[in-house]
Amino acid sequence: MTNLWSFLLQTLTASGVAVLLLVVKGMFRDKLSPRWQFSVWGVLALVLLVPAGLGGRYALANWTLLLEALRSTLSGHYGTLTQVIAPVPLPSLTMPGSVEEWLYVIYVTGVAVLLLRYLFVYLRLRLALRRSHPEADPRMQAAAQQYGLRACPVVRVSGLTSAFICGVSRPVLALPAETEPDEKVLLHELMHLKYHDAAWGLLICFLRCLHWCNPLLWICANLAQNDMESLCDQRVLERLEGEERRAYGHILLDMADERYARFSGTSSMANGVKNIRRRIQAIARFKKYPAGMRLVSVCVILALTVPLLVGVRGEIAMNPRVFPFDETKTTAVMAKARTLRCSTPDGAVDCYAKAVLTGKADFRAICAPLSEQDSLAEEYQESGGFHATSWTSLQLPGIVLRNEGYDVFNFFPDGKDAYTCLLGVHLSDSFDPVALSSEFNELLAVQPLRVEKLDVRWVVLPQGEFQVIETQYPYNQGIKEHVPVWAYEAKEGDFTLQVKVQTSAYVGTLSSTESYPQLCPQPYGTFTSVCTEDIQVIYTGTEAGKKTYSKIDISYRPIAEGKQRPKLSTLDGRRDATPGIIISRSIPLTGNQPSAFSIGGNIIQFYGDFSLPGYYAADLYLDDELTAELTLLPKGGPYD
Amino acid sequence: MTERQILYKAVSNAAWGYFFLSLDIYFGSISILPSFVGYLLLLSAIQQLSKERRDLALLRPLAIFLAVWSILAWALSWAGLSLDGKFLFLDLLVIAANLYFNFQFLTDMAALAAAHQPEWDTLDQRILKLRAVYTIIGTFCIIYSELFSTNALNLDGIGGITAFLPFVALAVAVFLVMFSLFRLRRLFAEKATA
Repeated sequence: MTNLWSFLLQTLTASGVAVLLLVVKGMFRDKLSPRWQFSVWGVLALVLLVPAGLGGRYALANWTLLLEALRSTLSGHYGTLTQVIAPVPLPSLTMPGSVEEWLYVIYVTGVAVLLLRYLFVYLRLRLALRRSHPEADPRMQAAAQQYGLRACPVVRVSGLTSAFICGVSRPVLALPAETEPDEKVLLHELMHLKYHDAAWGLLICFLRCLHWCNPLLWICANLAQNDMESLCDQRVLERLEGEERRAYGHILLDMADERYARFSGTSSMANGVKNIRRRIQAIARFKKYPAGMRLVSVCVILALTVPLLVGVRGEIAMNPRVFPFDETKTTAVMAKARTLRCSTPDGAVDCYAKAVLTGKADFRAICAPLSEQDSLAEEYQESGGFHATSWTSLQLPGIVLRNEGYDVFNFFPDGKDAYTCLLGVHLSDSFDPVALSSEFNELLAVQPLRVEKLDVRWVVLPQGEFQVIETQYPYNQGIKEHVPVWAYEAKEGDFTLQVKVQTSAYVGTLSSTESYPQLCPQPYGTFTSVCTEDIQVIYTGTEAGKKTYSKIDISYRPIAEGKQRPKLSTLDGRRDATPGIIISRSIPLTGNQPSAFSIGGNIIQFYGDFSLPGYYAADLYLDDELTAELTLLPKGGPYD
Repeated sequence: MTERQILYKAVSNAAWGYFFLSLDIYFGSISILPSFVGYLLLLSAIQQLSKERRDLALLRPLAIFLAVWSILAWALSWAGLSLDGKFLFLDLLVIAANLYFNFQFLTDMAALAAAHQPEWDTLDQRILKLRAVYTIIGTFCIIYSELFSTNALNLDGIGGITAFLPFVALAVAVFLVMFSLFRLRRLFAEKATA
């Protein structure tokens, strides 16, 4: 927690879970054992110790969205994103300059003061007990032996009204000096010792300090400590029989009037009038729960814990424009957009592409850096919640064919947590002044993009303006012309061999019938990609020389960088060649063949990252004779 | 009605209750074997068995809660709406209630079997084992479907039927529970006519 908002996010998330647990505990109050009643607080402890909103997910309610909307309303800015780095407060070293910064300072000070206070009280108590010379107590030893429990040193303290265990690492049992406590009281404290309840008490105390200004969590901390005492009562009663159980109840009754003080790192049998009344009621309900109940107890806790810890992701919908349009709408929409968080680079590109296709500024805000959120919000507000004018399809040099969707070309890693690619959206061919030439049948508006992980969000950074290119349709029939490719090349005599590589990708599907859900961004989506390879042969010899060959065959294979060039299959073995690994093409070479021609290639569908090959190995056969074993080295790229 | 006849009717209701809980046949988005009928049958079984098994009375509020939730979900399905994943808070309450309800109900059914079965019969043990299996698979399915519905689990890499295996296992477990309850009913039928 680094600021007031991240503390609020953590404490509100925990509060939601606390309310749920209180309801569930109420539901099972007379049904599940005190063991379960105490253990279920572990769910809350876990939620308190795991940073809220981890991975852009939330538990029970989208607290991040609520806080961001409130934050924007108060500050008038949109370039923030509340996140919790650690579940403990991390003090800022800069001088506070605003009300919220001062409030955070007060919060951190409160945590420090409370922690120091508890630590001081605990140390003072330890010192006082140490000064009283702890020693082995025969009654304590006997009780421990009788019930098969571990004993600890005992300290007699004058003026003490009830016994308690103090300390986690070297615990001591403090007993009143004036009276001889009942054996059942000793058993109660030995049970605390056995189950390390002082350590649990310390954890509860620590969490209490972290959320000192949240009364609901203080109530939960009190209830958890009472449940710990009830559990200890249950453990004692399980070891007692008949009349002894009744006597144990009487001991508790006698404690009801005692002064009650709770210290950190201690466990005291007396814990206040109200709590003792509850414990006596629990004793009245006492029964030995069958061992089988443990199964359902664990299952209920698991079924609650996993969904609460994993949380839910935000969803986006194609909301229609809401009238009247006002600033509140902008605040809500922009808060929702930036809290959605693209969890994958593919998802970020999808959001950007769909923002271009639909012209919706909130879609762009999902994948825009936080530094651009203010200007996006301004544009969104000015445009009445529809088009933002500086980046959308309004700027495109033509009419976008939304039904055709988009293509992402050459999506390749570019360093750590960064990718580059080229976005293509389809334009109507009625667009003027570009007239399609006869060999092409499609217009694409393309824009280079860079996708980066900034903090916890994947964002898209346009690297230039949209440009119109002519190309062929449909796109999956070979390399798309005028879209950049990566090229590999080698020469042998009059022949130059070239392999061109191009990838295209999209998230989900966009059918030919336009419907809004398919144009909804998928910030968590992943690409379905296609890699297209095309082998080009360029003959640089004389026309007469070309006529001396009647047939050309090429066997090729992409090789990863650093790997040794393998021996490729012979032409005889080409039928066995695995598609996509070794490809062999055979075409007749006649005098009519143009000097540069494609002899085909391969199309591979893949998911996840694609790495360009280090080089290509290719065997060139002329008239069925192996002429050269070539290594096609990268020419660099991308090339048009 | 004799005590045996009451027991026979109660266990019949419980068995048919599990039939409705285990099977879902949809006509469009509407279930024609709605779960709430199952919970209402179980509620009636609890009512009839409360003299024989006093602990069962503790389950009545849970049965009413689960029945009301199921009725609500079923009524909304007529309007083409679904409660699935909409209210995680209530979802988790229903999940917890459901797990405990089934576990305790089957525990009581096993105790009923133990009290009335012939000495050589082990129907009570069978019901207890099924109870444990049903609870474990049920919990796994709950976690699995929660993770799936909240997009935390990507099932892209899991082939068709494999993704549904836990639910198939759960359906088999519920069917076995149902058959065991029908066997328990037969026990009372034989004694009633004897």
